[in-house]
Amino acid sequence: MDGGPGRLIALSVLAALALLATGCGTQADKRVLEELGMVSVMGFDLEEDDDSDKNNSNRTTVLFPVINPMAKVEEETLTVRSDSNDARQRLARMTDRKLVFGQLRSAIYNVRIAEGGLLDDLDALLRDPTIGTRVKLALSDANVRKMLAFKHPAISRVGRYIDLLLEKESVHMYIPRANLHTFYRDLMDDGIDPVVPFLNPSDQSVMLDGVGLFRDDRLVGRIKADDMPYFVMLYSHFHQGTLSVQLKENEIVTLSALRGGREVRVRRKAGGMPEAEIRVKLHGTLVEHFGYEKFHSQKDRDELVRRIARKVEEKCEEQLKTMQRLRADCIGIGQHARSLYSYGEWKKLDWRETFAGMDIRVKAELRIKDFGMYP
Amino acid sequence: MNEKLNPLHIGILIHMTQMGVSVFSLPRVCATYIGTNGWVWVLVIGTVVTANIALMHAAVRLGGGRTLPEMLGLFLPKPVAGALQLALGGMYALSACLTSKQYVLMFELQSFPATNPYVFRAGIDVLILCLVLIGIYNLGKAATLVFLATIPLPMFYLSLLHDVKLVRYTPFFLKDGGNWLEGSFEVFSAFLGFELCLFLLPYVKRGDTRWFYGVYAGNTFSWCMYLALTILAFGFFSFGQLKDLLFPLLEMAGHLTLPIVERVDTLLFTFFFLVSVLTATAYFWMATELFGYVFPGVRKGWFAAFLIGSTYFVSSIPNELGRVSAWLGIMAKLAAGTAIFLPLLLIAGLLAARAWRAKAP
Repeated sequence: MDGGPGRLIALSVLAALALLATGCGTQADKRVLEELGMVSVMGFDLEEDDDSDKNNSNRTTVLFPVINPMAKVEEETLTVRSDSNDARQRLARMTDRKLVFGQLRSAIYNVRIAEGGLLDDLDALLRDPTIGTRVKLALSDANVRKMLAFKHPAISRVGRYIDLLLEKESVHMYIPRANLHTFYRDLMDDGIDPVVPFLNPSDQSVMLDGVGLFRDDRLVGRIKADDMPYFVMLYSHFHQGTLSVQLKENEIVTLSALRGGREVRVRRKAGGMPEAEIRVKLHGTLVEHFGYEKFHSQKDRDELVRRIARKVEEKCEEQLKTMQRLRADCIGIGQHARSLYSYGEWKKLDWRETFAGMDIRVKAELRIKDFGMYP
Repeated sequence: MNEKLNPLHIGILIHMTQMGVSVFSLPRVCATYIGTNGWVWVLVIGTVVTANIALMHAAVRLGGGRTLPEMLGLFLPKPVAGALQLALGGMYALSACLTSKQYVLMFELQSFPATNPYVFRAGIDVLILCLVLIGIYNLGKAATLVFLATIPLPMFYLSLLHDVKLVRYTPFFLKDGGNWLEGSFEVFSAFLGFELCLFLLPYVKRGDTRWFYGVYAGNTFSWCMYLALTILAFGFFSFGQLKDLLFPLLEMAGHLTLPIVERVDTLLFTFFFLVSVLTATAYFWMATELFGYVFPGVRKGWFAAFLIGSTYFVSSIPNELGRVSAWLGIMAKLAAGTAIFLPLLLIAGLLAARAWRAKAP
């Protein structure tokens, strides 16, 4: 269309701008990899103050990899005590690196903070656009600062170790996936409460140690580490996992390559009170039977399957009782129960109390594909 | 101009003009203003938009191949028609500039929080100027290229299907919303861009009416994409969370994972730059055309430079994301009003002119 002067001017302005732009950009937005402290883990503690007249104060710990082949350590830890949200500025003053949070993978909170409500503390992470909402969340009974300082010859980077541990366990079962997104999603949903796994130091490393149950944003209880598989069965579908079931004092069976699905059915009883049935469908291979026994006949096998299913139901109902007692609907029965009510009824209903008082049955269906090479 | 636009290019042009930064906040708008299962509103407003396009189609058919100023000239005195066109041109130019400004501010929120937005915008405006100067036919080709380059991006969202849960949609229908009227305007404004069809008349084959099917197709494509993304967002986020999120679809992109790339959202938003530039370019082009009708003696290139330059300064007044969105909201309401009333005015005027001519000896 209009060629000539217009295009010529535009092109020359563009060329001049391109040249100028190479020198442009604020120093503040420049990122040189070697000069960055890319924080991979943040830890938050609530510590008793030395002078008793002051309140407890928060301690923030950050961990970031050191990108320097000459350095003797692969990771640097910085920690600062601060009453307000200025921890990041204080931490920045303690290092020659520019602290950036875009690569943050995990945030660990001391249990005392979680008991008082996590939302205020999560706000800074949720609001910051450089921090993605896939940042994994964890709780700890121990002092997080001390836990992050643990050393093991085989673990060069604690930050990466924690990230992989949480990732692996949520993919391979036995913890529900918990990150900023899932926490806030479930917090803002009136039919489910959030969950966050526990990470605690052990003699040899840092290990997963149960699941924290929340009522709104407050930690109110937990599922013990050994019971986590049953919680996950009630929580969602899973694709692969291992489950050891203690049938008697010295009889343990282990199922492997376990797949599971849950189905929640809700209905209203005659008096209007809701009731629920959770069907847990399991599908796996038997790889171990402690208390050695042969299963040649179909009858023996059916009997074993029945016993395992009963045990699973029993354990699942135990977890449910815990949640009902705590009035924390962490498996989302409320999401299903909403369909029983009109909008007005649901809004008026005190779901926590209804959940605590309702009948919830668990029905486990187990299919064992095979009983191993020496059945 | 010998080359004519074909329906495929028209469809893609319309779709690319409609797609803009407002799509990222669409699920939030539906949740906040319309309520639970607010995605239905995309379906409803999409129908309204299609009806609106049908009105434009009727106006174009009544006009019998006449261009917009020719149609206006049939029933309006010249100064009034001229003033109307200049006002429309100014509005489109300002909308265009605000759209690109909003993109820049959103990009800065994501990637370069400390960089001066003015330099960034100046660069974008030069690019837009170049695109306006190449004319609508070449713009159609450019839009086709950008379309092909960016069409896989929304497909990535499908990989999040496993995180969508039916129970999150809730059994409640359009409850807990705020303001239906405001919501309707906002959803409607996400579809804006179809007005472009009124300006394409000189660039299509005279006497050929099939080109308008391209407009319908482009709009239907945008409609389907908006609907799919909004439905996905309502199952991915909980309802309460959706109301709190500034840009839900950008947030969802943060959950996409590719084998080697972490934080796909930043990459996606950078790609979206091209889409955003095309929207702004199409609006500036419409403004340039309108000014060109009124002052036929002046080269259109000068208008483009003048409009882009002057709106650069005007749109520098609001410099916070919230303010820009508020200004853009006002412009969107004006543009929505225009989109609805302009074809009505044309139809009424043309019918009146026809009746008057029939009466005249």
